[in-house]
Amino acid sequence: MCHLTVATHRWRLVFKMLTEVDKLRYSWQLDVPGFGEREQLTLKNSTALVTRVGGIGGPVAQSLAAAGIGKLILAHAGKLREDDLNRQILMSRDQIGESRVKCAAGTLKRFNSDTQIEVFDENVNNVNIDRISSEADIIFGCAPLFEERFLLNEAAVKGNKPLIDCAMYSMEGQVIPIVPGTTPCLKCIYPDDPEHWQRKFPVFGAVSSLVAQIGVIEGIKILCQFDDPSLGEMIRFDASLMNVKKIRLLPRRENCPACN
Amino acid sequence: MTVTIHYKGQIATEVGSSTEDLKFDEPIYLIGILKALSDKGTEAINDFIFDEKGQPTRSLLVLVNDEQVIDFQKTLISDDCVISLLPPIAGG
Ligand SMILES: [Zn+2]
Repeated sequence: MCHLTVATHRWRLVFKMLTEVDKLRYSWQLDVPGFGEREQLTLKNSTALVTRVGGIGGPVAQSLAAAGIGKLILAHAGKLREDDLNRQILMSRDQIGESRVKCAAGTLKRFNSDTQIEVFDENVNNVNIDRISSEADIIFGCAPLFEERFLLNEAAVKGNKPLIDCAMYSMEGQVIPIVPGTTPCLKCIYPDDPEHWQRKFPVFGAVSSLVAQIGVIEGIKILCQFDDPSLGEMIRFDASLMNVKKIRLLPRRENCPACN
Repeated sequence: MTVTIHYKGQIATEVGSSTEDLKFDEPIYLIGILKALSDKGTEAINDFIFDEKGQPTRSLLVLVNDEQVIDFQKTLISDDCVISLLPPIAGG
């Protein structure tokens, strides 16, 4: 593998070039108009944090690995349970009782051995957030609790890095691409803690996967400055009606405690 | 006049429906519609829409014809408007 020592867009000293294997592996996406070797190179030299690796985060991580992301940081505590398996597609029944994040990493490693994977067998909290998020170029928020999502939002704002907030409930899903300083942040959109949100929610795996794929597309657009990301908008779908809408969000709140 | 309400997320679960048509005699400000929904709904519906001080909860996204609005007092709703109530969701 060829290495150049240059200052990249974010911190790394070793800049990886595309190999002939890369050019072959990604040749079908390199044919997408607007997405070429420059964009593929950006992906290869990028690190994405995905929290967690359940119904949304699992397929997010898998599609990022498929697209050729250089490194994945995965954070998710706990051991696999039977009732995870309708949606947590990086894990399998024979792994019940094992660490979820390690199961996910194993699947991803077999899927694309060139993607580096770092795992944290813990959920993001206000003690570990800096340690887990500092290296990431982009964050995918896929956690089932707002406390965790708001911490990711703070980390994104503090580190001036994009956050793709991916969420679902029952047959509905939404993706909010957040670019600090440009778009409203999650606290601009939800200034009060959502008291009604409950840890357990109805979910079909196909719906959470659909959210994930929309999130990955938006994330790749932002990372690679490719196509037209939905900045300042919420992408929302209702799988019951099979409609997808883009909702123009209000501008950033002047008194937002997170981003102003 | 008829106004269509689209309930989303946990509000739809609480209401037991995802859509409803409401009739009003004349154009009405959005805050009046929210109060009407609260009055005819359960306590849980009220809690999704208003806080303990009776102010609209700031984390409920309210759309009129698919555009987010924030000034409920000054937004006049006329015939055939579609109002969507989107509570925060965080399923992952
Ligand atoms: Zn903000």
